[in-house]
Amino acid sequence: MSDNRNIAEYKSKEKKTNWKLLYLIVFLFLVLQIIFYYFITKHFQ
Amino acid sequence: MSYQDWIVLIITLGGIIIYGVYKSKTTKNLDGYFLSNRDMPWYLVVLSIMGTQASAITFISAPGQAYTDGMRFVQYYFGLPLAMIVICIVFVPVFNKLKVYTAYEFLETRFDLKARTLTSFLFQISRGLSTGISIYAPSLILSSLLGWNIYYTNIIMGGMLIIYTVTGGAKAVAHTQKLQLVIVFVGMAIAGYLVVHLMPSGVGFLDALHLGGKNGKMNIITSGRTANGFDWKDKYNIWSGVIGGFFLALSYFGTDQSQVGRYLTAKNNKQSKLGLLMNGIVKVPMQFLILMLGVLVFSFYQYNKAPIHFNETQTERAKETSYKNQLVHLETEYASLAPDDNADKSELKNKYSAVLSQALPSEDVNDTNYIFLRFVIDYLPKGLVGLLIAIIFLAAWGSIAAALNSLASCTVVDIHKKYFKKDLSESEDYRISKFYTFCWGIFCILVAEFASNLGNSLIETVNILGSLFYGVILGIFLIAFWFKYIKANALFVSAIISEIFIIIIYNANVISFLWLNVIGAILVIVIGYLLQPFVKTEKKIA
Repeated sequence: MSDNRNIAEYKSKEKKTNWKLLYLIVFLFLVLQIIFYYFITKHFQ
Repeated sequence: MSYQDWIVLIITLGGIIIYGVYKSKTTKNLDGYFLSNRDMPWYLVVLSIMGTQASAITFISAPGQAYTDGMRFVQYYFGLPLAMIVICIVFVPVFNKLKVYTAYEFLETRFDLKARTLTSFLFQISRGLSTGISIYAPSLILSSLLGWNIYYTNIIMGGMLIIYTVTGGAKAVAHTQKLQLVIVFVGMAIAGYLVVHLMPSGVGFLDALHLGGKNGKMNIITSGRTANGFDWKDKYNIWSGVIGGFFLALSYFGTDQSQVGRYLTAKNNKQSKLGLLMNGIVKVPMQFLILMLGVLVFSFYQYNKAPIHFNETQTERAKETSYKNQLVHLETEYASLAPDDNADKSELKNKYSAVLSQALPSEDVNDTNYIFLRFVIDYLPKGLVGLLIAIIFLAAWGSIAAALNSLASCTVVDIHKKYFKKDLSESEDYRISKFYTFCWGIFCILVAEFASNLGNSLIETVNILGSLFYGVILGIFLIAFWFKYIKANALFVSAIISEIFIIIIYNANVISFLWLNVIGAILVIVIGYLLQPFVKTEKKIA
């Protein structure tokens, strides 16, 4: 019984999504874009 | 339009309607009709979110916006990814946990019925009017360019999608949006490729961007600073985009039922959040590319004669007045200029617009929204014109269908079942839902039929309308989540006072509309705090 519970807990942890990492990716992607657009502005204007 | 264009147009639109009706099989209850049984995977959620936000106005107006004002409009979307993160953390878990049909159901739990009703009412007014504009705006442009009757165009634009929206509800909306978006993106990519292909030999994509840059169109990042300090009336700069755009996106995606309804269709929290985050990643580059299309069209017209006024039907009407000779004289002068003599061209365009205004005093003479479609009709091959026109319809349908579904869900759940008939069977729920979807479709078409001059760029008009209401609605939700001190009665009075203030500030024209979202939200919270000691408290927080 305790083996089954451990397996279930392990599986639920394994499937857990790392939301903080995803939020960080979205945030950093925005920052990188802004930097990229800034350099494009400077280059073409 | 050639017969090839008509064939492509009819097949594309007819195909979407048939596909939507085919996908109409849904459970015949509220869950099935409004939330597609909450079974959508994240990729359908993100396509639905994008299809709802990107209306025809996005694809007609944005390239024209870049042609006249440069690419700085993209900054308006910088706050969106940040808003997606906040919504994932705060809004999604609450909505999913309570298993709500509408975003405003939650407010009754937190405050009382009148708070819920007021907020739902504010949403229905703003979304109903916006949807009417979303029908009217592309119809006006198409009818003008192609010589179609505006009233019939409104009916086709708003009426035909009622067929699959009424029968199929949220499921039909989501699946047709998926197909619509694919067709739209393919069509815009083809247009982008062709505009570069049509440049003189030796002029490539980067050359075109350099040319646009020399003329100030590659102004993607702007600071809003002038010699006199920060310009609060400057519409698009990085600060109004990140801050004002953040509040606008937070309100639109967090509290507007037309978007909340999209991610409530997801299987679970995870699929909702993934859909929202993916939207946060894709949206800004997508808008960047659409705007860049406008810059490429500008560069194209440095090698080819641009019309002095892109709305030819309007100039023909003006030439039937006593101003004909003045207009012809200006056109002759304009035709003698080199295509890249932008300074003189701009001066003559302004004079021409002034004469047009005198000749047609009741009409809006701004031609920003006609630039891209004029280019498509004049220069793209047969068949592709039909595809691009179809894309205008599809983009409009995607957003209007979602709006109708959301308006009907609010009317049924927030109003009808609360005030008129509380206990309905599943089949009665289903029948009344279809009825209200149909009614809202007719209402929005009527708004379109009675709409007249809308001012400048249509994409601005829709966002101005949103900014008049979104700030207050967002403030209500922020109080609900984070300001437990403020109770129902104080919130109700505060919301009404704040909305009045916002309308006054807008009419005073002292600040750019994007900031109204911030001001509205803050006003509701501050006034709520000030009123709370003096207002009778009724209900405890749930």
